Amino acid sequence: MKRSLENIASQLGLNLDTLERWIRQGKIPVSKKGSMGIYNTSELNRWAEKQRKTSFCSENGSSSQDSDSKEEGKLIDSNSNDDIVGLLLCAALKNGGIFHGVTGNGKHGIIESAVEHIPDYPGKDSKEILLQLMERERLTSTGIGQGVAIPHPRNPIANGFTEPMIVTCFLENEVDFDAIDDLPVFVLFLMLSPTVEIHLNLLSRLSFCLRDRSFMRFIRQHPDKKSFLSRIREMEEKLDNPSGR
Amino acid sequence: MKKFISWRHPGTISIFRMDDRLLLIGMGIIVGLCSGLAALALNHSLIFMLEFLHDFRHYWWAFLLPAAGAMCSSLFLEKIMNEGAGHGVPEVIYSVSRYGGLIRLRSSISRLVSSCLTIGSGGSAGPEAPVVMSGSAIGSNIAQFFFLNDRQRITLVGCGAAGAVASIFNAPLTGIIFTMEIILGEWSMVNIIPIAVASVAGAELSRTLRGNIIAFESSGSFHIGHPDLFACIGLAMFAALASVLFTRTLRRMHKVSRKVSVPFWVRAAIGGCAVGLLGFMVPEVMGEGYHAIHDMIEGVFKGGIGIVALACLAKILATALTLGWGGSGGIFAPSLVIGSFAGLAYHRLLVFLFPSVMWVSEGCFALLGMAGMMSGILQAPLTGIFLILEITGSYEVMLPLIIVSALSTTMTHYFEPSSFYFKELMEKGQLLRPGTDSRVLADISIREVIEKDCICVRPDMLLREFLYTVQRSTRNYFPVEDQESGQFVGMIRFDQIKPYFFNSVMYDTVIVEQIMDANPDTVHYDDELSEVLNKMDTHGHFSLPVVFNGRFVGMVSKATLLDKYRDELNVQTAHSF
Repeated sequence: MKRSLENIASQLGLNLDTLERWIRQGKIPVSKKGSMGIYNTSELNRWAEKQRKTSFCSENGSSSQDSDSKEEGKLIDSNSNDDIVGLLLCAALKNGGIFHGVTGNGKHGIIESAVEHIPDYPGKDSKEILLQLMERERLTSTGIGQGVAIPHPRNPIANGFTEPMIVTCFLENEVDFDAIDDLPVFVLFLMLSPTVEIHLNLLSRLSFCLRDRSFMRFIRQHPDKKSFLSRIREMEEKLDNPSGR
Repeated sequence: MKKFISWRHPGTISIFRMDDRLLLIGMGIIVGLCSGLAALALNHSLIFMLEFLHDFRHYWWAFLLPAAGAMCSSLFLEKIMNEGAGHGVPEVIYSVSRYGGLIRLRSSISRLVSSCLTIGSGGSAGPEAPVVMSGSAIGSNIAQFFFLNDRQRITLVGCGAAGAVASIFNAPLTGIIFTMEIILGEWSMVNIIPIAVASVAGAELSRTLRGNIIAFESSGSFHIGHPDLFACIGLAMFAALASVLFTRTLRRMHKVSRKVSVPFWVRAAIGGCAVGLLGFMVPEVMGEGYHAIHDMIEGVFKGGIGIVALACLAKILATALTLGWGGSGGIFAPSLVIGSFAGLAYHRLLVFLFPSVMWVSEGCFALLGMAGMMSGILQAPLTGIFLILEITGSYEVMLPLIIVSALSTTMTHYFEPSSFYFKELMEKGQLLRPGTDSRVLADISIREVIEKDCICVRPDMLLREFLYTVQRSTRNYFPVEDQESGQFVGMIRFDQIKPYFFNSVMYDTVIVEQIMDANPDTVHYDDELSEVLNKMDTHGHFSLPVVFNGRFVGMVSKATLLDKYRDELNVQTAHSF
């Protein structure tokens, strides 16, 4: 079998310099011809097993080529994922939707009506979500001060939930939410995410926006959906590209 | 053309690529024969030189002969061959451990000629080490000719050494064991078989060309009694004492001769003169001295205890004068001579002290003395035992032989913790035995463990901007580079600057230049890893920046190093695929 040294090195999880040295010293059953390595797959597999390295599994050249291109494909995928991550907050807000004039009786009531606004997704269970949200509220209030609350369940939403969403509810009347600064709350960002990682990412992005004074002044005016989302997008781009400041 | 390339590259033939043992065995035979031939050539030329110079020995100026020999030998080595003096075994060991057994072609002839000049003219030295060097060089160059890899080359170097020793002593087992114990330092199956084959080939060649002679065969047989076994303990002490004395004298003489500020060839000549003068008083010290051993084992050596003891000391002095002042040759043969003198002296002492006890013949003690001396000097008991066993052909002395060898090695070890061959290497930090820490570290180079995923920052960056960089980075180390010149100016360690992180006032007031470590410890691209680790240990670092030409190249961290270290250790200690 003949493949490029770089290929073999990456398959074995080795540094290229190390591989070349081992070939020179005869410590690995590969011989070198130009920039190609010649080896016997089963022989090399046996060797790799013995060295407790990740096994060198490739039955033949073409299939390994396939797996390579697959891996590359994955890389590109994850890259494009990164792009989404880039505007994660914006996407999540869009997913969740923005609602004005939400009413409710006290903390429980307001969360209940916010849950009603959660858009449908396969396997949605409003009761369960409400239960989880209230459980989290009992731990400590999610009113983070300055009239903002970010209710969210403690654990990621299970079954069938893939796209993160933030349901934005501007309240008709300000409601006491046991916030940390005891100020009544005027906006709710109900946050649902499929994984903890995304949850944390969303949280940090949202809090970045909320730390901005002018942004806070802006959302106190209960902006409409379009201007709100465009403002968020602007903020988020600034966050991802700090050098542009 | 294709055919031609493939026979020069036997390692790439598919059957040998998978399992090269057959290839190595075949090569081993060739190497064994060649190195055996080299050994015989030296042996014959020595005999020729001795016979040729025999007639001149009676003149008053005969003491100048060793001087001339040593002078020619050192001139030949330095000027023509451009190699340092010395016996060559440490060079072979170092080359095996560091350069995969790469030895120059000229080494295969240089020591042969120079030692022939030194010993043939009467200098006190042995032909074995030069023969080992030459055999190893032959093995190495045959391997290079066939483009074999380092591991295979090391095996062939071993084959060369084994073939040479086997051939010169007609002792195949000694060839194998000497090579494994001293030259290679590891006992692995892949090596043993080709080396054994080469050893047999060398011995067989010697038997064909010289006849199956046992070098120091005694006519009678030895009957070892219980008192003799007890006496062995004392003999081991005697031998150990002699080996310590011998080692120290040799090394002292080296230092003394270096202080004399004359050209190297004059120095060699002075040493040779001194040996020649010594030879007037004690003729046994001249040359390799095998004739004296023969007499002693036969029990026909004349002279009382005083003369024997004097001869023992004189031989030590003569060898030190020859080798320490620039002559060329090994210590194998002189050790044997000194050992047998020591054994004989001990026997005479015993007979003097306990005349009523029935001691075994003095030849036996001379023989045991040799074993004790060899084991003491080389710190290689097995080599001592098998060498004596084979060159004397006396199996009945096995038991006392083992006792003397083992005890002598142990006792010498108290005073001289390392073998004569390793001592130089150890002082230079070049003793890299397989599977040891220093060997593993010596094999890995910095470029294999370097990590390049650090994000560089500018010295004029604000702390706020720097925080974004920290957010993006997966590492805790941030090299600071000058924006224009790209020069490495400092280092920021995340844990060093943690206090500033939670103080938002500092975000826009502090710049990177103020918080960086402007004078960090760095390592160079070509540094040895052992030095790097030393630096890390002394200053308590876990990572160090690698800087080349004032530019940052990457980081070396202990964590990655451990990873590579384990891989390397695994690979080094796994002997076959």
